[in-house]
Amino acid sequence: MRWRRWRVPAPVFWLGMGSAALWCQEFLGGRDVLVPFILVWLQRGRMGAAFVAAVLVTLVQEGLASFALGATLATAGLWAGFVLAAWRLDPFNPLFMAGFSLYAAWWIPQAYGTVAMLHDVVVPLPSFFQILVQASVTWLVWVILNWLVARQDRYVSVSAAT
Amino acid sequence: MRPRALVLAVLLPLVVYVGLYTWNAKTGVIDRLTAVLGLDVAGWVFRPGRALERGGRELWERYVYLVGVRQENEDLRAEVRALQEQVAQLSEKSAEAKRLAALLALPPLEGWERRGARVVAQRPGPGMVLDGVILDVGHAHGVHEDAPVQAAAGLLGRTTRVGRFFAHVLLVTAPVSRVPVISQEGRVPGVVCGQGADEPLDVRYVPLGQPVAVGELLVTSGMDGVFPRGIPVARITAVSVGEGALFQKVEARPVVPIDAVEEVVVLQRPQAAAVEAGGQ
Repeated sequence: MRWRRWRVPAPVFWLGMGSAALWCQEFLGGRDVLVPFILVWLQRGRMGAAFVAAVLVTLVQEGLASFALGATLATAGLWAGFVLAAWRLDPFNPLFMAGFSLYAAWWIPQAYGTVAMLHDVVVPLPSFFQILVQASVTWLVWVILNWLVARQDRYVSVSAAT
Repeated sequence: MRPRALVLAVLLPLVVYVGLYTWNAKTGVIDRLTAVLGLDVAGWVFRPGRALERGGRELWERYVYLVGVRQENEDLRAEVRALQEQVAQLSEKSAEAKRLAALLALPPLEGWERRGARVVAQRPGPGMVLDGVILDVGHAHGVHEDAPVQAAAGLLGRTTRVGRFFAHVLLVTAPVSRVPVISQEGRVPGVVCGQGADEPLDVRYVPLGQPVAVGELLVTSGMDGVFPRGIPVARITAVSVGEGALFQKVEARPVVPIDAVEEVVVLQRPQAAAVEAGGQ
């Protein structure tokens, strides 16, 4: 097939997506755009890929954070929350994705706030509207990534069949 | 899942986390690791992002300029377009040159060296809960922690976490920022405390009966040994005295337009710079 020659290699693709997500994060005033990079793998039950993504995302977010170990706590809470939520629910259901985006938008500032509190610093927590905006961003990026990964999976299965 | 396993699944990560937290508080290993890996990696991503953003802005400005042009002659139209592109580029360069000239015109501070730097990111992620920016200088450039950072208009903040090529700056508006100051006219001491990006600065410990006026400039007093003396920090916006209060209640606004800062200078003592360079 012709388009196969133009397929972007996976590492280049993810590097590009990760860089774009980081720029978006700054452009959107510090809203989290990297979380869906973990969720998209957890959703598929590909724990190895999810773990690698979680380590990379956590390292970058830790590097950008004001206090150490906030991003670690945030990622751990997300992972645990996802495992619990996906235990009985379908992680591909759009309602699940919307609901979990809302949870992520609420949890992440709580995690950073908790670590700030350990340093005796009280940071203002986001308003409900800010949580909704963050949840919309997470959901949108997640939907896009989900579509891209599904497309990639289809490509791999078609290539294997032919 | 059995109760014992459930308890273990909850307690074990908690113990590991608290252990990591305590170990990091004592040794700072995770801080250093994330500063080198996370901060530097993100910094390299942000730097071209800023350049792309500037290019996009220039392109957009040029497009807007061209919308109103109604030239019949195609040659003239092309020439106008070329000239406008040139003007847009030159005006951007001229604005940058003005900002850099303002930095260069800062009076020399005895016992301090200056190092130019650019802001590569502002509020880059959800974890930056304290107001801060990221600069494109790090240990490799001789910059160390707690180095004062100055913009043309005055004090911006100080470096907190420094990677090899990039550094975090804690802004004067951050809730944990404390800068000892003195009023320029009345020479009244105080401490400027940040309260968050959208809040006024709180000037604490200003003694009762001392002359401070709205509009007066507050400059660093140099009493803490971190900031050199005489850098403008903020301008007083409100003064009041509460009943039974021991100090005056003073509010101020930073002199630096924080969201618009692009170039800064990092101040460092020569011996500190030499030690950093020697450690490389």
